[in-house]
This record gives sequence, C-alpha cells and structure tokens, in this order.
Amino acid sequence: MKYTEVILFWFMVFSYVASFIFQLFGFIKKKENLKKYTSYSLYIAFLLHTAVGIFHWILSGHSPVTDTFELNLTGTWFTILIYLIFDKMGKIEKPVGLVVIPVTFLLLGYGYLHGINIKPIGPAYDSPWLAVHVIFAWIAFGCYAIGTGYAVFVVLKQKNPENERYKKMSNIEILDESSYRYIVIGFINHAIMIASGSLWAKKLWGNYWLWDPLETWSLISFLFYAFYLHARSFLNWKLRRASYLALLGIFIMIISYWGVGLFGPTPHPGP
Amino acid sequence: MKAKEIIKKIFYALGSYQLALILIGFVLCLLFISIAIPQKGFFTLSEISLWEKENPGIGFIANLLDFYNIFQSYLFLSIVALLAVNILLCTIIKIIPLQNILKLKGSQRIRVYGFITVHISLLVLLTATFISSGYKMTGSLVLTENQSFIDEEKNYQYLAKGALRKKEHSGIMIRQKKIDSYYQEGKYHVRTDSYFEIIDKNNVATRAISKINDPYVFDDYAFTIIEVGYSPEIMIYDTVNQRQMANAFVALKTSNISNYRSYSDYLDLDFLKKRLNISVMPAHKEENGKIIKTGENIVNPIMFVEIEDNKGSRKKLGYIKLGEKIKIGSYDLYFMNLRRWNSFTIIDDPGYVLAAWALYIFVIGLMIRYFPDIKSWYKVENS
Repeated sequence: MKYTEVILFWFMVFSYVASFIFQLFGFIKKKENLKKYTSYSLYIAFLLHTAVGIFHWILSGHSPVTDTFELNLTGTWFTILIYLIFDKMGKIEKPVGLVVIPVTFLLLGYGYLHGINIKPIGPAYDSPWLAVHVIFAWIAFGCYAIGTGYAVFVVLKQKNPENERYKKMSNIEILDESSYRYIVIGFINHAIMIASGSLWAKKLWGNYWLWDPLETWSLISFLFYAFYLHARSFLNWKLRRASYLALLGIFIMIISYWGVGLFGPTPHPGP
Repeated sequence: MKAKEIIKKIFYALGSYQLALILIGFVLCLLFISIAIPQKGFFTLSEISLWEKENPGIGFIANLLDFYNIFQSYLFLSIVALLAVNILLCTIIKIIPLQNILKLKGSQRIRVYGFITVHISLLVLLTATFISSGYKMTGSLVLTENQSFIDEEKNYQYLAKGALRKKEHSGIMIRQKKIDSYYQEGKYHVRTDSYFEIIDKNNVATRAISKINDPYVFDDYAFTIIEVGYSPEIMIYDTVNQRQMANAFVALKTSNISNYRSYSDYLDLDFLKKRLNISVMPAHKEENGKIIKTGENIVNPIMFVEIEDNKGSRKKLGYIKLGEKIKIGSYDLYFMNLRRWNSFTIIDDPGYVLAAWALYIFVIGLMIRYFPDIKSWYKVENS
C-alpha cells in the first residue's frame, strides 16, 4: 500500500515539475499554446496530490496533519487549491504560478526527505483544534505565497517596464493591489491560526502562550504583516516598498514554519 | 501655546499610527532578540552562563537590560504598555466625536466598526495578559500510581506565581490511582488516562480522569498531564550492617527517539560514593544473549544497572528481573516493583477566559474590518 503511495507521490511531483517547465517556457518564449499544457499538468498534479492525501489518510487512519511529510503534503495541497480556485475565477496572473509551483514541489521534496510514516495519531494531536490550526496555517501560507508571487512581478516589472514578457501582465498598480489582497486574506487566516493554536495550547500544555521559539516566530511573522498593512494604509507604502516588505515577510514565514529548529529546541513541532 | 493644546498634541501623538508603527517595530526587534539570546524558561542557568562566557560583550548588555528574561523585562513591558496606550487612544480618536461614525455610510461604517472591534479586542487581550502574568499560578508535580500528595504550593517541584497573587493553593490532597497508557503496534503512544482522587477536608471530593489534551479542572485549577513514564521501586540493603539504606519509587526520565521510548535516570547516593545509572524495560525478551524491549505495557519488566565513578567511567552490573537483586560492593540492590508515573502541571490562570474571548473577538473584528474590501474586490473584478 505504501509502495502505491510512493508511486503516486512521484507522479505528482513530476506533474508539478512538468507544469512549471511548460509555464516557464511559455513565459520566456512567449508561447501562448503552452498555457493549456501548463493547466493540464497542474490539474493532473493536483488530482494526484489529492489521491496521495486520501491514500495517506486511509492508511494512517487520521487526517494528514501530524508529521513533517503530512504537514507539507497538506499545506501544499491548500496552496495549490487556493491558486486553482482563484485561477478558475480569473483572479490570478498566470506567471504567479512560476513562484507558487516551485515552492510547492520544493516543500513536497522537503517533506519526503523526512520519510513517509504511517502511524496512528499521538495523544497530543488528538484534538479538534489540530485541523483548525493546521488548515488555517496553510491557507495563510498559501495566500502569502501567492501575494509574494505578485510582489516579485511588481519588482521585476518596475525594473524592466519595457520588457515584452511583463507587458502582457496587468499594470503594476493592479499587480501591487493583488499582492495586498492576498496578504490581507493571509493575515486573517494567520490570526485564526494563532488564536486556535493558543486555545489548543491551553488544553495541551496548560498555558495559552509559552513564548517558545515557534510561537515567538509566529508572532514575529504576524506582527510583520501587521506592520505591512499599517505601513500600506497609513504611510502609503506601495509598489516597490510594499513588495520588498512582502518578500521579507515570506522569508520570515519560511523561518517560522521550517527554520525554528535551527535556533534551538522547541516543544512545538512545526512542518 | 496653551496647556490644553499641548495636552491635545500629546494625546494625538500617543494615539498616532506613526507611534503604532514604531512600537510594532520595537516589539519585533525585542522578539528577534529573544530568539538570539537564550531565554531563562527554555535554557538552564548553566547553559546561559556558558553562552555569556562565549559572548562577553552581548552578554554584558543582555544582563544589564534583563534580556535573558526578555518577556518579563521592564523594557518589554514598557513597550507593551505604551502599545496599549496607543491602541486605546487611537480607538478613542476613531470613535470621538461619535457623530463622525454615524455619518459614515455602508462599507465605510463597517470598516470603522471592524477597526474598533480589532483594537478593543487587542486591549482586552493585553489586559488578560496582564492579569495572567500578575495572578497566574503554575505548579508541577510527579505522581506515581498509588501515591498520595498534599497539593500545596510548598510541595511542588516547580512553582511560578504572579507577583500580585495573594491566594495560596493549599488544603487538598491528591491520591494517584491507576495510569493507563495505550500504545498501537506496541510503540505508538495513542492515549493516556490518569485516574486520581481529590480529597478535600478528609472527604473524597471527586474522582477524576485527566488525559493528555483534556485536563481535569477542579476549583479553577487545571490538572494537565505533561508526561508519563515508569517508576521502579528500588530497595538497597547493606549486607554488612543488615540495614535498609533506601527504599523508594524513582520516576525515570522518558526519552523518545523515533518512537522508541527508553526509561532511565541516575541516582547520586552518598553512601555508594558512586553514581547509579538505572533503566527499565516494561516488557522484554532475550535473543542471542541480548535483551530486547518488546512493548510498553508491564508484562515481564527488567532493570539494567550500571555504576559510574567520579571520572565518568561506567561499569555494567547487569540486568535484574522483578524481585531479583544485584550486588554493588557491600550492598544489595533489589528491584521490588514497577509502576507508572505521570507529571502534572497545575495551573490557575484567571486571565485565560478573558484572553480566549479577546482572541475570538479579534478574529471576528478582522473579518468585519476587511469584509467590505473583500466583497468589493470580488465585485469590481467580476464587473
């Protein structure tokens, strides 16, 4: 059974890589016909992703949100889901996928390196808050990732306004506004993630806030985005400044999610 | 300039968004410092002093500004207090005069309501945090099956109390009954149920079950299980003087590496003049002369004993089964019994309920604040 899951997993990764390659070539060579291949391969990858998730869920007997592999699997699933929903609604610039898709397969690879373990849910995770905490954490990350994708193109387009590749995209103000919108949605989800984690921590550890390294990093990233929203509203930091803030923000988010262990021990397992 | 104008200027400066941004920036800096400098709650004092020796310059500044305990430092608390003042004043500025809000229509009004809700919830959250840090009590204790414990603050292994707390936690007794831990496939810990009695004024007030992730609450005190492990009963007998030197249950530390749990600890006993290292397996089998752990439930327990001298060199003494003895010089060590232990954190936090409400209101406030925006983004793009 696990063997089947591994095969499905690798087909999924290859489909994501194929989608990225189609999109990259389409973008560089300005070939419109590659768009449909990008979409097809992305949909196939997402279907395989869903299959791997369901398969893992059935094998382990619990939602895939407990160890590093499961968290990365679920998280990237939500990121792609958000991307596809907004893409279907026509509310996303296609090249943003050039940022989102590589992030997805890199995270999947990172999760895979930690091993696919089929094991029952531990008592610490046996809580209704787990799903709320993890799902909103990943929706937040997905939105921030897409927002950062837009921010990357704001910076690129501002540096090379005459470049043909960027001319096809919306104007820079719209890209910037889109980045802001995704970050706002990410921020709301981030707040739900912190609140639910806090309520769960009270049940599990007896304290709603322990100032452990992961909580501190989570608060840092939340306050950073609060700073971004305030700076945008009150100081009118838009376009390049806002985009650099968004880039720094995702860097802090990546540390919060994957880098906390590098700074010392934490009782709080992250992805 | 008139005094009234000066006060007004100070009022607006303290409630300004510029100050909010500066303060958020400061809080962020202090949070980064808390990550770079070892904190007292997570590192031992010896680890901190070692770090200080390696970083003498920063260590000196950290000591001076109380950065080893940054979240209780005056600098951090002052910035948070100033942030609270800023939030309060900017909310007042937004509300007063009230007619301005009432004049607003539709989405503008909803945005302001959201803004006010978010900022009020932040004030409530800061108040809750203040109550928690001032009045909270956290105690910890380890209980072995069948052990009774006078649940008083002075008996705790660890106790942290808010500076403003006057209430003394005392007068009840806890009698630990059975501890059931469940494992799947013999190694995956899936559940622990701890049964205990609370005896208040010589009467059994309640028979309680506390579980991991589901604490038992008695009279505002939450009994949260943090860890479980094994306690062997050890008796040491002096064969020369025919005296019993020690007889106690020793709660061994549990280490968990890749779902393999080991239970071990050391004992510094003066009369032995050596350190005694012991570890147990609750169930075992012998295979090719090797002892292998076979499960987590007590089936046929075995204890491994070794001694360590002052220089740190270890000597294996061997394995003993339940009821057997092993010789350590002129002493006999008996493995008498094996029971489970669990560690409780006992917490009374009067700020929690307020904090929980603040968190709910904060999230709702954020949704209200951005609801008109999200709605308009959808509408504009679709049109």
